[in-house]
Amino acid sequence: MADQHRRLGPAAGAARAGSVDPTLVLRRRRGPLQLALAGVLVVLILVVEVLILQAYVNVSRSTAIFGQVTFLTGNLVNVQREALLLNVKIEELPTTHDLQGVMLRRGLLGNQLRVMEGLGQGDARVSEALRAIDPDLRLIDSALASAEADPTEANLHAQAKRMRPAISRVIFTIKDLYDAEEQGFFGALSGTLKARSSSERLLVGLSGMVLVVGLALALSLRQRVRKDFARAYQTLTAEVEERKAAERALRASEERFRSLVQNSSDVISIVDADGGVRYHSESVRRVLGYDPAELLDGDPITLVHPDDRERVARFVAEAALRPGVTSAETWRVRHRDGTWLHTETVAANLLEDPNVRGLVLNTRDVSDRKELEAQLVHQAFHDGLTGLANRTLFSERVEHALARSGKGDLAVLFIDLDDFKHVNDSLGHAAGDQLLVAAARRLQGCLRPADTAARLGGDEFAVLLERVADAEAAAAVAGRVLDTLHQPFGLNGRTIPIKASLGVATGRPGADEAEELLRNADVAMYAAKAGGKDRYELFHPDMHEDMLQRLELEAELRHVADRDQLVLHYQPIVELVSGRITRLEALVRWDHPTKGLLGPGAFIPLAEEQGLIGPIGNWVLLQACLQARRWQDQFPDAPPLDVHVNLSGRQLEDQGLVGEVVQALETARLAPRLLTLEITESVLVSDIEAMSTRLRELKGLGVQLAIDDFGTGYSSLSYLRRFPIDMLKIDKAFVDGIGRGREDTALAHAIIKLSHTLQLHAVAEGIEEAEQAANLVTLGCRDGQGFLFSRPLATAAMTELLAKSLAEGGFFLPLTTEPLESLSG
Amino acid sequence: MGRTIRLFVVALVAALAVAACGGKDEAPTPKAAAPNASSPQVVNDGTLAAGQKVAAPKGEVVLTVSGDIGEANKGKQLQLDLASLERMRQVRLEADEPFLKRRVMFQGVLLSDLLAVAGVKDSASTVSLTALDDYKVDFKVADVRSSQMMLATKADGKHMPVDRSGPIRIVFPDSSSLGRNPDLWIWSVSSMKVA
Repeated sequence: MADQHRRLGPAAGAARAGSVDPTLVLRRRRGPLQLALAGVLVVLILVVEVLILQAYVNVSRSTAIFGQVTFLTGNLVNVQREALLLNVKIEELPTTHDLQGVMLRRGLLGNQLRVMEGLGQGDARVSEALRAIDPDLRLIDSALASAEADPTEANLHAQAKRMRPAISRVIFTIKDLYDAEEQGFFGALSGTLKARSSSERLLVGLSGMVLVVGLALALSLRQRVRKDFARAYQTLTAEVEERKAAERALRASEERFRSLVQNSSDVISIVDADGGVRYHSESVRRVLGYDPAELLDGDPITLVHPDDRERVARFVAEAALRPGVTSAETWRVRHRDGTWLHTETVAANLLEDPNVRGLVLNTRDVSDRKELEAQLVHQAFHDGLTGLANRTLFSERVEHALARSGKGDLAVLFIDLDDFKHVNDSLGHAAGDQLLVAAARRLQGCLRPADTAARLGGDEFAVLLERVADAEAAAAVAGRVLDTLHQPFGLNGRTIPIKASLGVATGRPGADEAEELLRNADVAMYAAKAGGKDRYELFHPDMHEDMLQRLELEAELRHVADRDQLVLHYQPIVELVSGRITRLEALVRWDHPTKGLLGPGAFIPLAEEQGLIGPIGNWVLLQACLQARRWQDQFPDAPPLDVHVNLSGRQLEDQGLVGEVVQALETARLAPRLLTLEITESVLVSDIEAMSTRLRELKGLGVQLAIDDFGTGYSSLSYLRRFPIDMLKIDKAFVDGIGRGREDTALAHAIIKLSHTLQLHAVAEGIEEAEQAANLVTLGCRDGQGFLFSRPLATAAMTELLAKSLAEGGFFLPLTTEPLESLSG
Repeated sequence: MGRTIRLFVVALVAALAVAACGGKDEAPTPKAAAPNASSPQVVNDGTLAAGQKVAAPKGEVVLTVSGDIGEANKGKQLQLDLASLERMRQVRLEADEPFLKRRVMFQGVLLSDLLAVAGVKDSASTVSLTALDDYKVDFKVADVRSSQMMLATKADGKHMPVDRSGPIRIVFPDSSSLGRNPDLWIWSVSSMKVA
């Protein structure tokens, strides 16, 4: 598969350069062009070869002939030379008489001629020439014989003369033969050459073709070879580059590793399998304060906290058993300055790595992190403001305490500061926080070290008492807590008492659930609140039922205004002397579908607490005004009756109250002076400045203001002057006292006198007996209300009463003496 | 691939070589001697051997030896007639006569024997032969000894007159490489000078 990839092409090959064998590239088959060229070349070379061999045979034949001719012509030259020398000897003979010399020359010429005969065998020209000169040679021989016989000068002359033409003929014949031989040779030679030239042309042509084809093949091969070499070179260089890159990467990684190790903020240590330390990185100096070298000498385990040593040894032993990286472990290590650092260590087992052969421990200082963790844990379980335990930790403690068996009962106190909201709203959150901190401190001061105080949120605190003897003992602590909180607390220059409602619930380890215990304490705390605040209640199972009802009521209360379940009853206020009705106090009732008619005490505080008082109050205001309007319309001839409406503290705090009053008056087209708003005394003292402003606004509308339940609140009467009050309603408690003893009567008298002094209209509440009414008249109080005159009546009944009394002469009530149940508002 | 290139190169070289050979008009080497060619055969040991005095010639002087020789009979020269020559060890040799182109039975003395009789010294290196027609040929003494060249006095049993390349001539055995050159077959030798 790899091989095929390589053959796919240069791109594929180059991409996988690392795995290509360069020789494979070069061994690829040649292309068809090269094959064709090589074939043509081989054929051409064979043909040329044959032609050359043929030419060679021809040439060698020619050169053989040439050699023979040369031999022969050379001999002819010799013959001619000898003939000429003989001629010279013959010419000289008469003077020299050297017949021996002539005869020697004659012999030498004869020898040359004999040689010529041998060489020219088969040559017609040679044999013809020999034949031609033979008579001349005989003549010369005979002349020489004659001269030898008669060597006289005269005879020598004669014989020389006789020989002269003979030798000349021999010379000419030989010369002619030479010329003929030469001509014949060159003629034959040119014929041969001519015959050869055509075949040589072919040879030259073919050789040219061989060259051309060879050149083409060479070029083609060169190109291919070049390409192949280029590819192989590319492949090789790519491979080399890759290897270099790999080496660079390796080197870089080594350097990086080294620099990581050397510059790491962590301490890198290399440890043998037996626990001996071989190496510490330089950072050990910074992290632990030791010199790396000095550290190698001692036993490294001595640096570890004694409690952690066993764990460290196990960690190293386990790391040595398994390859790979361990999970992080933390332990304490001693810094050179003696402090203990929390360190976190990870071990990598590189025992098999030939470069390391050890465990590589990576240790870092996590003290800061540990501290932060502890801080976070503390934050998670503690209240940031007071430093007490928070709800989470408290619940956990309670669970924990319940899980511990046989350590005695335990108790939970739920503490809710009373009216904390007032502090917060009037003095600001900073003051509220100060108060909470102070409360927390005081709370803690009442407790034993084993007990837990917690802030559950807002103004809610809780206390866990462990090992309490019984509920009474827990109640004793609750009482102590209340007393401690009561001690005056200085805040922004005033002294404020801290009041609280406490719920106490006890539990038994192994028997009770934490959740239930906490809920019980909570229920008891609510019971304390509902029971009038600033007190504690021990949990009782019945409280659950109350609580449930209360919760149910709460839920129903949300919709009471828009479900038409509210009704208004009216109680008349009369002139004590005449019994004439002058005013009517509107009193709200909840016509509960299952519980029947509920008085305001049963649901108004709850509505106030839950912030539901607004809609209820507005409804009351509007309905009372509308009814007053209807009665005016119904009894146009009678003097108009004032209508009284009660305002709760929460309503007064609401800035929208003034607008609501205006709207109610306008809707009912009621004159403002016919509306009297009743306010409880305790409401006024909570925030005098704000109340003063609000009352002035209301007063500005033209309505009248009355203090309800006067005498039950705080004794400071200065506010009576500061507020624009028109009327005091004297509480039933004082009315009840009239006639029972001197002191009580004096108290009632004083109040009435006070109202006179301040020029306030006094109205007595809760008059049940005629004697009381008579006494009040005597004391100077002209108006009053109570069962003596009429209990609160539904609208229809009231209308009927008014109509009946009017018929008798104008709203006068007959005085009754029958005892009545207490339903007075 | 490699094989193709190699084949191509070989073919090219062969073609060039053949072309070069073909282009040169090289003389063909003469045909070797006939198969029945023989080396010189001793006919008789003769009476005149090395170290012996060579008497002055009685007949016609056919060869005059001069130069670096230890034996002389006329001044510093050693003159020899046919009889003197024929008193030396006689050998017979059948050889191809290059001019007549036929086999001839020669008889005479080995030139080396003649040099020994003439007392030629070991220091001598060259033997120069001159013919009656002033033709001249030089031989190295070493070649004279190794080639078994012969100074013939008879051809086919007869003395040779001048017009028969006589009276004495140099012949070579067929096996001799020197003998392949016909120019060295000097005939009608008349003098010899040793140096």
